[in-house]
Amino acid sequence: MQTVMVRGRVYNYSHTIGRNATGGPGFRHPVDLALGGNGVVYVINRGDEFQPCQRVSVITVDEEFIRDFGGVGTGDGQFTWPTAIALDGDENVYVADEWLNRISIFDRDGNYLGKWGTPGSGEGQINGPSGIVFDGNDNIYITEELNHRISKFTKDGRYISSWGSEGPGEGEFNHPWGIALDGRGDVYVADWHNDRIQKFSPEGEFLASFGGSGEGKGELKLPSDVAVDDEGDVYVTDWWNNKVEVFDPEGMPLTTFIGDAEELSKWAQEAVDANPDYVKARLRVKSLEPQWRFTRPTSIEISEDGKILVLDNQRARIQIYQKESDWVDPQFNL
Amino acid sequence: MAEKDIALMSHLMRRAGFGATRDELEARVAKGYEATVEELVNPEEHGIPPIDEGMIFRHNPGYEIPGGNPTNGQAHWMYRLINTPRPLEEKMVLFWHHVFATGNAKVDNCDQLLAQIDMFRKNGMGNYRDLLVLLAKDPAMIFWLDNNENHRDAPNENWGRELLELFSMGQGNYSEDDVKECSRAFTGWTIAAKIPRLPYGRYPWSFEYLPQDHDDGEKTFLGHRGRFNGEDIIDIVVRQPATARFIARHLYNFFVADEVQVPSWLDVAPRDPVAINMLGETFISSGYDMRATLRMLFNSDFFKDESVWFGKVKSPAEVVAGTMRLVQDHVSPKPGMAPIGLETNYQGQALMDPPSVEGWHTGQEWIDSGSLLRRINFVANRVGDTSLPGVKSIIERLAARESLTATEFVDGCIDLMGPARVNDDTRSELIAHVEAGGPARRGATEEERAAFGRRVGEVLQLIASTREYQFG
Repeated sequence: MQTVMVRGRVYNYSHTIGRNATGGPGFRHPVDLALGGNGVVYVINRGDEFQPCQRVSVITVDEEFIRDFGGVGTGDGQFTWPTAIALDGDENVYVADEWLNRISIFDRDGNYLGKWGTPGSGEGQINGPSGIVFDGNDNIYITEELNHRISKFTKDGRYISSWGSEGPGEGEFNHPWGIALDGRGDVYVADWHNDRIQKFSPEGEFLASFGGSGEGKGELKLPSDVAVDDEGDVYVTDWWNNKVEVFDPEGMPLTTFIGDAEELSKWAQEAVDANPDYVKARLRVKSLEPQWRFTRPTSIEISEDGKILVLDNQRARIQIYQKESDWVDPQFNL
Repeated sequence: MAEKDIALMSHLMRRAGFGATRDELEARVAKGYEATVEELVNPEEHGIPPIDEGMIFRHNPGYEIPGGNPTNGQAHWMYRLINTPRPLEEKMVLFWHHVFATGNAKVDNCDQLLAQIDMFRKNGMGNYRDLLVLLAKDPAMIFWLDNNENHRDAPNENWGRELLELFSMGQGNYSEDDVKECSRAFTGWTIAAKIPRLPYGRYPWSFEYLPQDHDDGEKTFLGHRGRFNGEDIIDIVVRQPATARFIARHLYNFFVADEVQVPSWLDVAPRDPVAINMLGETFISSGYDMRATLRMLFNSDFFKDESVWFGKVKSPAEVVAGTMRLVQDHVSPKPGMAPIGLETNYQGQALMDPPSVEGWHTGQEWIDSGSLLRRINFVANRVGDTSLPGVKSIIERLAARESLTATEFVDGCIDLMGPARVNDDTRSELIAHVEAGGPARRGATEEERAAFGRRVGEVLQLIASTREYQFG
């Protein structure tokens, strides 16, 4: 990727981590990620029914494998259809399971701590939890895909409030998915089947909506997740269109990322190097460019130092961009 | 609502789709038979949306690029067979998959098979000539029949032969020289090397035409002479009367009544030559338009005639998808779809993995002692599950009637299970069974209502295990 400079922002592609794997270093249909301290990244793997390998992968942003934990099933500490992951202030790990309608809790080492969640559509019940995020008070917001609403709980599962219902209007949702907060605690929701992002106050008051159906700049088709950086710029994984749309704090489109993984990740290179036929098979391909691009980007997070991590679901990897600060463009005639 | 109208609509929906619930049948009868046919053959113009693909892939990300093993791909397609709002469109996908059988056993890229299936979905009710061109460029087909090994200086006749023998005209209508010339015309029609599966998963093949590998010389094909390329060959093929007869016979075998197997078509006359002629004439006069041909078929007397109702042995795909629609299970994404997708394999029809390019033998050959048991158990296990919405609906409809004699109870179950059809002896045995269990009353208490439901489920299971239920 060439440096992207747009309206005072500068982005560079950094590197990619991950590969396709059912255990250990690598992912299988990763659907969400969360950022811990010291460059640690927690990734939830959805797996599938042919290769059921639901688990949390713990890695670093420099592509070191630490551990994985969890497993397939309905028992304590297991997952059936895991959808979302978030960390509380102590870096305990919370995983939402949209089929079991529960939140499972682990410590950072993967030890199971507990669970909560009651299925249903009543107050304090959940149906299809698909996105989770903590606020500064360690309360947790949950997007409920099948109740078409946002609910807020304490981290031990006591109900606080909720808003939203099914529909296309302001404050209504159609199968919402990812969720994020900005520095002020305002809430951003990927309103999936309405092809838009909605912004709310921490109390659920509607503030703004942007995006809209389409494939062009600033347009969205089934957005899966959203993140906000410390300058208020908003990043959306435009799932069906296989791109990331970047908006300014007012919701005006800034730029688009389509994936830039020209070089293989470390684990991916190791896998290819260990299989000489694949080295040769890659040589006979006229262009590897399709491999650079996103295929169903499902989740996005931004680190404190401006790293933008895009979870590239079908490609089992994370593409990382860097929002630069203090960038001085070199003289043009070099 | 006349029982006869429901029965005819049920026949249409079994053949042009995968069956329908009673609620759907009633709605369609209210709309009218011909209007329903029109909606089936032209769903887009009637505002029938396609299935929500995003909803499928959001909950089952493994379905989109399933890789080498077909399990996820089969679950994906079965989910569509069960839930498509466009049943004929999906039935035609299955039809073309029968005719243009392509198998993952060799291709080893189920995602590429799914791409072919999707091509049938988008074009299966369109123009047959255009479909053949797309088929000739389809990467899974090119690899399956070795056209990537068909070179100017070293022709491979596999695709050329099957195009004539199994995909258009049928045996006996062309010479070995025609096969050779046809194959020469398709030299240079190949696939570009794809990005290998390691380390980030599968990437698609793409069609590639290599003019330097194409034999541009003069060819003689079916009495025509010229420097033919592949599309010229297809243009000649579709104009052959044998092609119209061949496609007509396939349509008749798939939608109307079981024929002998395809290799016998050269020697055995069609069971209804008049119908074959009518279908062939519509096919030709419409310019090879499948939509027009299907419209004619479903509105014809030979299709509506009661003599062909319940005369076809259901294919495994029809058994599985039809049962799931009846009991209304897996009608939205939920875990546990893989075993449903695999079920047709156990009944003798591994979708996207046919036994050979000839496809499956149909009709009575679907049935052997192993597959019969499997078919019966699959259906019986589900219609006997009174927690499933479709079974609940049948129970509620029966429970709504004031009082039921054993005869009424059995007839109600037969009616609401399709209507299904059983012979008189079977019906008498079912009635005797119900009578032996005492009066069939809905009851007032929860326990009595549960017992009533269990008796309904039991009779549905007995109907599912009859010989007659194997026919659709």
